[in-house]
Amino acid sequence: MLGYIQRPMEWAFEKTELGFDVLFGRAWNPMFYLGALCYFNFWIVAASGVYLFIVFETSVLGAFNSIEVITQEQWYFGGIIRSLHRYASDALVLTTMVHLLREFALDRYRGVRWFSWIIGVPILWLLIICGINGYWLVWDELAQMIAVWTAEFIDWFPIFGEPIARNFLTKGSLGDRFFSLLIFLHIALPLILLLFMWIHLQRMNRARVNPPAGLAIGTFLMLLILSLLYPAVSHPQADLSHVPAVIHLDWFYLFIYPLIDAWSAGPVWALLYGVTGLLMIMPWLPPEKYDAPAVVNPEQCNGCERCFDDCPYGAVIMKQRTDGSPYEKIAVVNTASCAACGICVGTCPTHTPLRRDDQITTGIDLPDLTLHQLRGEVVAAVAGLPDGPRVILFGCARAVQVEEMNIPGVATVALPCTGMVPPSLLDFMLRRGGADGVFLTGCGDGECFHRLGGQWVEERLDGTRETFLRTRFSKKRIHLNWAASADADRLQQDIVTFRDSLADLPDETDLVEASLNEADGEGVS
Amino acid sequence: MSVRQDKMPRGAGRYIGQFVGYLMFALLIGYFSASPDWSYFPADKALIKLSFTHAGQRKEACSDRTARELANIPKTAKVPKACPRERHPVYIRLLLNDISVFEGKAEPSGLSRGGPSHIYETFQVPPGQHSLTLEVRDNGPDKPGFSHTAQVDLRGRDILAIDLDRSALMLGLPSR
Repeated sequence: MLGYIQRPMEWAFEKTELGFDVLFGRAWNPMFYLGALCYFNFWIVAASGVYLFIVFETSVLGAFNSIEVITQEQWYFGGIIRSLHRYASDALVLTTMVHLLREFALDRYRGVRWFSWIIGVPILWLLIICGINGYWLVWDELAQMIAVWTAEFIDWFPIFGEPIARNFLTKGSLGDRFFSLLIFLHIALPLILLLFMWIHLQRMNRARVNPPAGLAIGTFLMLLILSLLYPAVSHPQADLSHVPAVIHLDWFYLFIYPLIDAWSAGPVWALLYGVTGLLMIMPWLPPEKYDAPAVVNPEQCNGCERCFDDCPYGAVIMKQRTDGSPYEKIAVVNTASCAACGICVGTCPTHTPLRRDDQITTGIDLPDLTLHQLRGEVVAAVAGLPDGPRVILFGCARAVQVEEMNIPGVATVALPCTGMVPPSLLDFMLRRGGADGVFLTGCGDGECFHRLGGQWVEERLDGTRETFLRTRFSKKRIHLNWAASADADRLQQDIVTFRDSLADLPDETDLVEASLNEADGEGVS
Repeated sequence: MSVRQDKMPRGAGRYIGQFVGYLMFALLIGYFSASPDWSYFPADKALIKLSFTHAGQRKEACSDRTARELANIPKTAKVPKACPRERHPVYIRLLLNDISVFEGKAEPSGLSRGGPSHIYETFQVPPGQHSLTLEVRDNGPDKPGFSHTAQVDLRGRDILAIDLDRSALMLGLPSR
């Protein structure tokens, strides 16, 4: 059921991302830095808020006047700061919502990611409450509307003895201390929000919390120019004896009030509870699919910490060995955090170079697809190809469905993540696996479903990250091309071009060793 | 080995592309931060807020405790009168130009129903001069209470607050 909603959304996101590639380039594509942009916008809001706090007067008359002074008389600084505060806050809601929708569309909210998703729900509401709280401080007609409607909305639950809305009955009802309370809330709530934003990332290893400098500068300049050209201004001062005529509503934060107007308080409360409840149970709604978590083989693990470094979810921890092994540490998998992506298998050095053992046993492996099984699958797949340039195509189950491709001379295998491929397997396929070329693809460039798989593969092949690719073959025989699902046609064309290019490469048959089956009968099952 | 297909145009096109991207972002934020306008209250109406806190009469009158009853009460609670806490609901009727616009009752607050009753109701009325009558019965539905009548002159979007201070009428009117 959810798949019917996700698939068109995923397609739309991928098309949008390809469009943004053209505008911003892949490296600065804002769609890949939505979470980091949320943090960036938060810091702009926080920094500008410090100045606003300094000039703000916590009284009925002073609240409006102090903001009006910086807006009108100090437009060149205070006014810009105020506008930045507003627009960065709006940008924060926008990036947060797109981030949420994208994580849903790309199915990045279930499995081991449930924790981040669940923590994201209070973040959402805290963000909206912070914004409403902020608009209240200005004490203009918009603030008056928010104050009265919020009080009436809360009063729908008869939990308070005296209706809160009575505090806004007449001009005399409101005291200066009310604004002290509001400013306290406007500091405390964002701090709580920041705490939740921090917790949100606790099960993510190497989370991106800063956008690239170019994107950060561009975003800031955009907000700054917007603040200069279209400065934020107040409504007329609040007057509790008149209903405001027209409200220039900030729809990013205040969308709830027209809903209350249209539906009344009860249905809106039901909607809020319903949406919150749905978001909270979504990670456990069908279809649920969990692969068995990675398993450490103590005899093979040498405690090198590479799997610990590379795991995107922090699911591998290192512990002191107590089994008498000469190695000091051993990797231990936290099964609750393991997504079974296999990135740890790809970096484990115990199979470098890939040995001729009957049974490959790595330091860490996936029970559902061991490296031994993987080697057998790819060798068998290549063996079935006709004569001519033969290519083994490694793909990711979360990206273009490579197994559905039917390209002559190309055998395919889909992995939980392309990051599962050990560099030694690439060399092995050229050396003993019968392949003339190896093609790797996976989720769109920089957008690995498991966050770091694509990056690790590139760095391993480039020789900048252990475990390095060591091969005597021309590196032109190994080709990498990340492709989003929406980019399948381009990928297919690139695979064909790569296959055809192999015929033009220098002859390297002297490097090819006899195949396993023919030479020494080693098992590859 | 690794093909990174960056589609970003080079030279001036690179900056034009980013400008277009940021412009879209800015337009989206700039527009929805204060638009479209929302008007939730008709210009040709005034708003009456009927809201007060008033305690109904006790349902049972206080009675003197006998010496025997007092003897059985702990020292800290030796009060000579016994007063059952439960109060009557407050029955309210608001008439505008002798036509009833609201009739209801406010239950006493508290688990023992011994607290004051609260009411908060709003009504849209046409602007102009009106005769307002507020009838309150706080000693049961059939027993007479008290009432207030006042003349008010309301304009469009005016808010008239009707409150009670004990039993005295408090009108919150816009200053002219």
